[in-house]
Amino acid sequence: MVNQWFTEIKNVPGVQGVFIASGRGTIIHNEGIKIKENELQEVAMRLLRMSAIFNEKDENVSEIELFWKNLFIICKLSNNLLLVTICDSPKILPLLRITLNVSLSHLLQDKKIMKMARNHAIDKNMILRKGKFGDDELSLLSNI
Amino acid sequence: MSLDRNKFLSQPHVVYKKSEIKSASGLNLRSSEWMILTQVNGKNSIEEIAEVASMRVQEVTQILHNLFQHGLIEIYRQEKKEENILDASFFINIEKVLTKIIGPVAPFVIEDVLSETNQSKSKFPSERVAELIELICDEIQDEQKKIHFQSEMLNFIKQELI
Repeated sequence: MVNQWFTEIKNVPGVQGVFIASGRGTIIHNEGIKIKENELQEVAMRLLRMSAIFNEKDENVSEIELFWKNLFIICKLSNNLLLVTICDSPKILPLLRITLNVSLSHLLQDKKIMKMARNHAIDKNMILRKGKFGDDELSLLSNI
Repeated sequence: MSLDRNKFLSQPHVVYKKSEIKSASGLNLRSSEWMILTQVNGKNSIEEIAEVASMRVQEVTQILHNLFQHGLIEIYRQEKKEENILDASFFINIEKVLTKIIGPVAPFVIEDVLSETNQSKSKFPSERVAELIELICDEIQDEQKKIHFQSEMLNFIKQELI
């Protein structure tokens, strides 16, 4: 059943693949992405840190869009779960966002995925203590 | 219309392609210039690149102008591309679905969104349909209802437009 939603996302033109990460940045599921797992974890951590920056200011972020290594990354955040899509040409971003919203609502009902996400739950602000800020993160911090 | 390849054109519908003669390797480009260069592919117009890059058309035009000066890009198409127009039945369907979700204000919400985007039902380009749905979604307060609407419309897009 869950696979149906991953396929839906992957069928959006321009999408290379999709992955799910926990609140600690652990990759729970990877569908079609040929990038090494440690690099995917780096991306997940970066997204979590961005979300944590906003969380520090009591602002909730539900979506992050990034440009990384000539690829577009669109991430939906919810309930200790990141749904991350990697695209080479997000020409139809609005369609992708709609597909992600609908898919995420179904994935959040999947017991197996939610159990894994719960097992990796973490205080968002803890993420900020891991590693160092990059230039873009510092610039983002200065803007909020 | 003859194409003057030596002249930079800044109209938003103009399409550029990467130069076959000159490559960007070895050049010291800024990250924004690299980003725009990756979107230059003989398909995306200036305004489409701006949308993808979440930048203003003027900013993208300025960057493209720099890339053009470096000889990295050239004009591919300067004529406006013909747009596919949404069938009238689409608006009947969207109104029906939205009325079920938010009630009798649905037609007014759709009209408001169309007016915000300077579009009309009779000439709405089909490639902007998902954008229209997102804008309508912004008017739905309840998250569950929002997802329900998106889900219904997604099925419609898949069946009718993709």
